[in-house]
Amino acid sequence: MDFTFFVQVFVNGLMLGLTYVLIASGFSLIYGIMRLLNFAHGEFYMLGAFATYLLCERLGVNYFAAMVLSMIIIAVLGILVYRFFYRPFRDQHDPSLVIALGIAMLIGGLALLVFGEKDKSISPVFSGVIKVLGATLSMERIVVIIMAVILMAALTFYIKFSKTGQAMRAVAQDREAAALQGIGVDSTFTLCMAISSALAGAAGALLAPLFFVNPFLGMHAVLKALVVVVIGGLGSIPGAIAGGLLLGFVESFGNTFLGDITEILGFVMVMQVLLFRPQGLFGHG
Amino acid sequence: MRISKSFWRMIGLILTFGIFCFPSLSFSSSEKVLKMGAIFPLSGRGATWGLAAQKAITVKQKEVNGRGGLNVGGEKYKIEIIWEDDKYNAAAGRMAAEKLVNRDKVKFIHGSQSSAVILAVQPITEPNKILFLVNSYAKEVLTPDKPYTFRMVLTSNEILQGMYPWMNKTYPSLKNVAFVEPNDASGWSIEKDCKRIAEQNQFQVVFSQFYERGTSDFYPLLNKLIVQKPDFIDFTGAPPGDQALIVKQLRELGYKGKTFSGTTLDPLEFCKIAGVQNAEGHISNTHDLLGAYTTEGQKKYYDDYMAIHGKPFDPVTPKYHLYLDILVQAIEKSGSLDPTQVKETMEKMEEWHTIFGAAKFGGKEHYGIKRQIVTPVYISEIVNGNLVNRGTMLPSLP
Amino acid sequence: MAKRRAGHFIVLLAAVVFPAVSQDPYLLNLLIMTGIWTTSVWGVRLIMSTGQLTLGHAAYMAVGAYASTLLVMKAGLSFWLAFPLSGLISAFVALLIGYPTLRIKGVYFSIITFAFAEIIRLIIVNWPSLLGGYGGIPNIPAPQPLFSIRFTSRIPFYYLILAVSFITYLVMVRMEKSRIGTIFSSIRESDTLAESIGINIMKYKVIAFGIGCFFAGLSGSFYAHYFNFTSPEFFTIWQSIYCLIFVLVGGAGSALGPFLGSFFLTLIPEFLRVAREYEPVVYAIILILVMFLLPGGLITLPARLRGQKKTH
Repeated sequence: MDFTFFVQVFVNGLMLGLTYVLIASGFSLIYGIMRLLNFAHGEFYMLGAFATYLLCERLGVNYFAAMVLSMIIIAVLGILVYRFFYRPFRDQHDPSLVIALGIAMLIGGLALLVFGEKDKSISPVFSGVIKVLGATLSMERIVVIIMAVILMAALTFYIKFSKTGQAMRAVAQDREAAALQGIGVDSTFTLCMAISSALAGAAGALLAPLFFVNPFLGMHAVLKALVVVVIGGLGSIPGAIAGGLLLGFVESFGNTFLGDITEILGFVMVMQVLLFRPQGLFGHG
Repeated sequence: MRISKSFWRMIGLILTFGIFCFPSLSFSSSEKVLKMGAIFPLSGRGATWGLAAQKAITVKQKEVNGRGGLNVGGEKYKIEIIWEDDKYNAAAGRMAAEKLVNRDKVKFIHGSQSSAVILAVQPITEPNKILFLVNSYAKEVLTPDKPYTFRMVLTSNEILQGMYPWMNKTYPSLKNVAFVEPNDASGWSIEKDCKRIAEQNQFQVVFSQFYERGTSDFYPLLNKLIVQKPDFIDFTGAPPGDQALIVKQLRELGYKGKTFSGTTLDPLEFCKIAGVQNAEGHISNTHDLLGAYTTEGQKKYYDDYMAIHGKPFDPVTPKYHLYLDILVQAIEKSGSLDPTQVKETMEKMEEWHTIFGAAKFGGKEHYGIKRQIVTPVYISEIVNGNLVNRGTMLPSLP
Repeated sequence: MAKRRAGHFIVLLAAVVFPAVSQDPYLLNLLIMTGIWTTSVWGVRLIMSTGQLTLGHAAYMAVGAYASTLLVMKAGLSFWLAFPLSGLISAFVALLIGYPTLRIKGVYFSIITFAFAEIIRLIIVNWPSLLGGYGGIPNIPAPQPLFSIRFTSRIPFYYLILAVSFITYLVMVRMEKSRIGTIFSSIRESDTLAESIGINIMKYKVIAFGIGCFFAGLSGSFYAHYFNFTSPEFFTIWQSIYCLIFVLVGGAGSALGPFLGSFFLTLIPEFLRVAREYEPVVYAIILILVMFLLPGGLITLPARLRGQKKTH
């Protein structure tokens, strides 16, 4: 176990962590601003992967164009789901949860019907591996890392500095006060939903060529997202980033040094956080 | 007196249930029909295997019905199969068995790849003396107290008993092996078999780890594995998509040894996910029916399959042909439709003629009861994206 | 009130009399499954009556199932002792984690119930020597004969689960009508207000959670001895979600809601056998339709049809 081994473990953790950040950030955003646990988020991720698959493999679209198109398609889907299914239950806590679960089941079931259960894959876009400080990283993964960083930077920038981004933060902090200031709550929610879904779609598009695509991706993704945002703090983007990276590193080191017990670690962390600091690392109570 | 709304509500409830109570109408015809049941994962996860079984069994069913049906003591019976979906879920499988046994009154059931389904269904089939022909990889499925259950497909135990000696013979320089399995029922039981059989064949196990189901990034696990310098890696228990990913990621990380799995795979999909170059040299239990070592029976199966199902040919299907093939032989040999008599015939017969050549039941020593089919194990290698048959070996199962 | 009671009584009568009409094991099985879920899901409703949404109920069924299995198969106890003990063990486990977590409100509570359910499942699968691991534990014996009634056919199982469900029902209705029930409602409506008039909300939340999980444990124990097999895949997060769906579709507002929900949602997969690939979609559509059209659950259907809008 030499230095390059540890670098590899670290790099693996970074990659895994950024994957989780990509998936969890949109989930956290929705909770922060809309106070909704959007269980369908994982299904949006899955559909983003399928959209990219269909565009690239069936229609021969260029990969990057496919990714952008997928983001747009999923964003539109997110808006539709919000308008027709989430908005009617906007302030009812338990019904919102149930509806989100129902939508998740519906999308998952429809995807299974339409696409079948077989794993599909996208022809590799980038090939080859490079060595970074002795650790191996495939070109595909480098692209994912770069895109993830860009997307997270863009998101953070947007929330902090743009007018609509600030409106979102206002709505998240105090909905009534924001409304009194003339901020349209509904339009803010719609925008939030669109961005969150687009992020999920982007995650799906980015990870699809690395792995494979099937209708079962959603459940696993949303469970990871839940763990990440609980640890990082529901509703906080820095929290989602910190939580995602933390989970990635824990899993990488866990799988390497602790073995099979790693599966339970994520949930134990969740329990610890919820018992001792329920608002998570970066959340606000 | 106004009748309360609750009263109407309850009447409505009872009526809904009542409609349901009436058994399904069946048309009687002059043709004699033998109804059998089949419980397989036909949708959702695992449907690949269930649908493969369905295709193979249908090929045999059409063949038998094409020649007039089963010959039972001079009378001809057409075969009708009632397919139920267990969704790879024990509770659903059990409900399906309830319907088949108690509603449809079948006496023969072909069943699932999920050991949980089989274990949940056996408490219904065994006491009712229903012949249950199964798959799955779990050892507990075949025990001396369950005489009506026969396993019709090779498990990892038998497959690896064929493949590991072959590895010894073909690659004598390989000494160390590493295992990667998913954290689920089949992963666990397969790993036990892998370890035992590898050691029986003088291989040293240098690494064995389970991964969380749903994982697609195996870098952390493989990183640790590669450091142990295994000569080859066995991931028999992993589902096909995961296997392809593991191969791809192994090669990305610079692993140069052999990859191996005691399962059947579809070479097109495998190479698509893993990458053709990465998949080069992968050893598996798949058989190219158009290649070497193919029997006449397998060639006929191929033609029949194409005539019924059309392109593309699914290389995973042939092993499921045995279900109906052997049952038909057993019924015709015993001259009876009584499951107990058919069971006794199956116990007594020493050899069966199948598309794979001669086959028999074994396993008294390993399982405690002679209920495991033993057929030749096929070994192939992926070369340039195609399957190349490398050999066949008959495992011994006393 | 009397009308509602009349309706409940008719269901009970029909249930008691049913095996005289039909001994079809298939139908009895459906009713037994309904009984199992009804018993368990009444527990969910009880927990919900204090305003807590539990996402991990199936885990407590698992505790009951495994406890009962081990007590009978390893410790040699009679089923009739193991059965109530399993309920108690389940309640005990619930209180172990319940006590620190019931402080936590709203969505965090739901998440923690879910996290703990996963942990229970992971403990079960990672302890194969004791708990059978992923393969589960087969060959679980049926209940020992009681008063010389042997549990070889479906009918004794049917009457047993009927009796258990009925007792659960009585407990639920009694609690609802009593002072405790009023306290639960007040906690659900506004816990700060309740606290301000001196109610120890922790104590009552714990009571509700404990009793709710007691019934989950009972139903799990019955499940194991009826199926003769138990496996971690019977008690996944999806099962917990289904428990929730059964309550909400039936209607959380009425004691009969969980029964209605369990009944219909056990029947529907049977009707859907012909279109099995559509089942997940149909389930989802039913759930969504109920949330939109009948937010009070199926129990409000007659009132809705007569034009009264029920708010939940």
